[in-house]
Amino acid sequence: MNIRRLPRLLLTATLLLWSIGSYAAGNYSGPDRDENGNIVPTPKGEKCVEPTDVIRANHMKFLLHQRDQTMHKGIRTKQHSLKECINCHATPDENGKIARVFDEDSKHFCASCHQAASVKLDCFECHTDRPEDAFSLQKLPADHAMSERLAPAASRKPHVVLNSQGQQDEQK
Amino acid sequence: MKNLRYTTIEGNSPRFLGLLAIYGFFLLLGFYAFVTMEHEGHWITGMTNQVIWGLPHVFAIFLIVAASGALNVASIASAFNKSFYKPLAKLSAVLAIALLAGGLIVLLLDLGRPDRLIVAITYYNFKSIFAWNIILYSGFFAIVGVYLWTMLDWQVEKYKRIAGTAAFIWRLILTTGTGSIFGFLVARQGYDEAILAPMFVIMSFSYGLAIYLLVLMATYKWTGRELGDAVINRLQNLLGVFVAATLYFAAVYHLTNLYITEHHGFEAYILRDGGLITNMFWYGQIVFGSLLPLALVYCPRPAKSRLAVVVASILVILGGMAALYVILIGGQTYPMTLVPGYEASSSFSDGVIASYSPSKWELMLGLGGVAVALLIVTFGMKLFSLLPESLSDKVTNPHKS
Amino acid sequence: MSRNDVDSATGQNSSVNRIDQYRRHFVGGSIAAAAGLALAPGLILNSVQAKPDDQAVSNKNRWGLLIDTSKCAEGCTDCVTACNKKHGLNPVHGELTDAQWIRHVTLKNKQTGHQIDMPMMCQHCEFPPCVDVCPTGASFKRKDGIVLVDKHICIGCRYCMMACPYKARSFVHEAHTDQVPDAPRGKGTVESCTLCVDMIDRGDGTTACAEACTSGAILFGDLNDSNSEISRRLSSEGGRQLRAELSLNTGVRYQGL
Ligand code: HEC
Ligand code: HEC
Ligand code: HEC
Repeated sequence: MNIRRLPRLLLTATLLLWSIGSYAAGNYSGPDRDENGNIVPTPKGEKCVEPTDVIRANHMKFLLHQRDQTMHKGIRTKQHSLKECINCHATPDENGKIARVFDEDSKHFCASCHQAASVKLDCFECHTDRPEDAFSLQKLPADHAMSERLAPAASRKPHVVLNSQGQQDEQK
Repeated sequence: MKNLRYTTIEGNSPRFLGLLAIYGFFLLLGFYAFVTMEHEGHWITGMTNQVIWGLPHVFAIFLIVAASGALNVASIASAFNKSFYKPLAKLSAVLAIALLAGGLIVLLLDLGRPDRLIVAITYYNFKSIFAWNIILYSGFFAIVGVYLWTMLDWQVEKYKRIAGTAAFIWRLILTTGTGSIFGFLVARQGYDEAILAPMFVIMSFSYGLAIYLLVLMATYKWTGRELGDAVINRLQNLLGVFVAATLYFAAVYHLTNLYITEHHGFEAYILRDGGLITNMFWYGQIVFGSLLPLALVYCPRPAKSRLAVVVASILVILGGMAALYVILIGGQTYPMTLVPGYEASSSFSDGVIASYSPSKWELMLGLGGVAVALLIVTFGMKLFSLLPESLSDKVTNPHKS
Repeated sequence: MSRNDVDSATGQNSSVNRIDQYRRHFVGGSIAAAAGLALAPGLILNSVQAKPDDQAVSNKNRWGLLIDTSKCAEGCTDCVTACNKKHGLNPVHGELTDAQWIRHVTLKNKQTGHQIDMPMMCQHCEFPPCVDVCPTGASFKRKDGIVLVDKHICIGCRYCMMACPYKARSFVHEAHTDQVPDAPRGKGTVESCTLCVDMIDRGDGTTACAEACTSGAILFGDLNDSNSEISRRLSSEGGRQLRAELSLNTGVRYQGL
């Protein structure tokens, strides 16, 4: 075992204890839900990658572990991959918009609890908060998509055109 | 010598409050610069991917180097048991802590991710000289802190000698470490030199002492205490020796380089063709930073003229900043040779002298660090009885030391 | 993979670009003519076996590039453009502060005037100075020889950039919001060529730059595998390290210097 890992271990342990602590303290309300009690934005799949209570309490641990596994060992399993969380959880709302994490009062899945619990994450300063398919525009043939871009703003379809500049298309 | 009365400084004179206001102003400026840089990113500063460490590092490294040198007076008193310097030792220790704190804060706030301080503390790569420096800096605070305690509290006074010696050794290692930050860089022509480490040690002696002299003289003047010529003369002679030694090292450094054909281009850049860098070197570092102070210190002058000492100290400080600017910025603006015999050009300053123009943000941040250091010293003098009420010639009695 | 091979609508900044799309066809077996015939035989011969997702990389492999500068056209920046596209490196505040994971360098012999054009990127040293100096261990070398920045623990001190003999690293000078999913990057950390580590882990067996190079000047491969195209060419034709005097044993080798 590398001695360099010792501080990291301690840090993780502290973080864990800390997160368990604040979870137990119940100082956050859970993700946004609609009247029927379903999570919004609606995840793309049926089930989460872990049982709901497990993922709720431990998702930071999974993510931080996965992070090191991927970075240092090249392990790219999907179960705890941040990219996959986003792919499934960051879906368009009924207006076809994908909420952004750094919006005020954000409806992005990963921001809903965090903002309520004042948990500050830096992950999305680097990691995109939008799913991969938002980048490939699978619903539109290429030339159509191109003309979408060139068309006057008013006539654009609101939801499918996402520019990769990161400005979510509020006005489009 | 025996019955010196150490007292704190008056904490509510207009002069004291005025000083605080000035520090506060620069602190705010520095803080504003930090917030702006942190919010906008470093593109608003003068740094680029070519000139990676800019003006903040000049300030930071100057303060850190000077911190170690400021401890000199205390070291001479404790480690070498020279009783003449003993009344001066406490200020020396506090000044050392203050300067180090000021330097580190600049270094920290110029990081790309200052919010990750916790990472810097919990993850260590023990092969990195930079990581070692983090340990050395923390240790410096601790050891000098203990040393100061042994000087302030008579109950633990018996450990003073040990603590003083430990602090002395530690700070030699510390400056060696700081110098090695550059000495270990094989990539760049100007840096890959073992001589940088001892050179930094000797530079620290002279910058630290210059700052010490200024602080000491200002304090005694502004608090109306008596400061005898004996103290001034000793310290200024010491300063002269250190300045001369620094000059010697600079000469050896450049002469060695001139001997090695590979480094001719770099030397020509620093010594002849570098424009601002060249001027900084000859005028800043050599003429005004070394020769003129030497003249001021050693040439006969009207007795009791303190002005010459003040000017000499200020020049040493400015010359030191210039020297570090030449080492840091000059070393980075000079291009690296990718393939010998070929001239390179690209979209990224290959083969050309890069330019660097410091931004106001960097200057503000650097001055903020200086303000932090001075604030700590000033408050230190108010909180602890650091200085004797009088250091007149009668009191210090130089002939008995 | 939910990603789809339809062209992106987003023009130059799009993340899933033609190269990406092309790669999939290519790996899938349709060896398009544009691939550059020089590259193709090598790739087919050693079509790198995809590593199972849950398996850690090992030092059985050492990934590297062989760059034949004689095939680099004057002023060609195909590899640079491909790299920028794949990693979402958009121009922001000018050349000196923008990320340049690959840059096009022109060398001119001082005596003869002989000119060489070549791409410069992280040389993926076996003994990387950036890794030695990094205070937190954020600069590291993976077992398979790829030198990376763990941006999660990078504090942005930039000492690695001071140490790099190739100026291969960039500091992210400003906040970004336009990252692509495969290349997270953000303000205040240092980054450099990753040898397209995500593609390697997926078993694509090439990098964005190698793929985009139509003249076949860039060859990707396993330096530890003596049967790989890159090893065979290195042993028969030779290849130089940049700044070899530093004994860093780089993973990127050059021919035609
Ligand atoms: C059910 C509410 C909830 C949801 C939904 C949620 N989180 Fe969290 N998350 C929390 C809470 C509460 C913490 C605080 C842990 C602590 O620090 O005590 C946390 C902490 C974290 C942390 C650790 C932060 C740190 O540095 O300590 C990460 C990483 C994280 N969440 C990622 C995510 C991601 C990614 C998503 C979206 C896929 C997400 N979370 C969705 C409640 C939630
Ligand atoms: C295949 C789709 C899918 C993926 C991938 C996925 N989730 Fe979920 N997740 C769901 C669903 C569906 C639920 C709702 C379960 C429920 O209603 O009980 C959920 C629930 C959650 C909750 C609990 C919310 C609450 O009720 O408190 C959190 C937190 C969460 N997911 C985080 C993550 C994180 C972090 C990842 C990535 C490691 C991830 N999810 C990956 C589909 C997914
Ligand atoms: C400074 C930029 C940066 C920040 C901030 C950052 N990451 Fe990353 N992250 C990266 C990079 C770069 C990679 C490597 C991507 C690759 O190799 O595919 C990565 C990879 C990952 C991976 C593995 C790939 C995946 O999608 O599963 C995980 C998990 C991850 N990061 C989690 C996090 C979490 C959780 C946070 C916030 C606590 C975070 N990261 C913050 C830059 C960042």
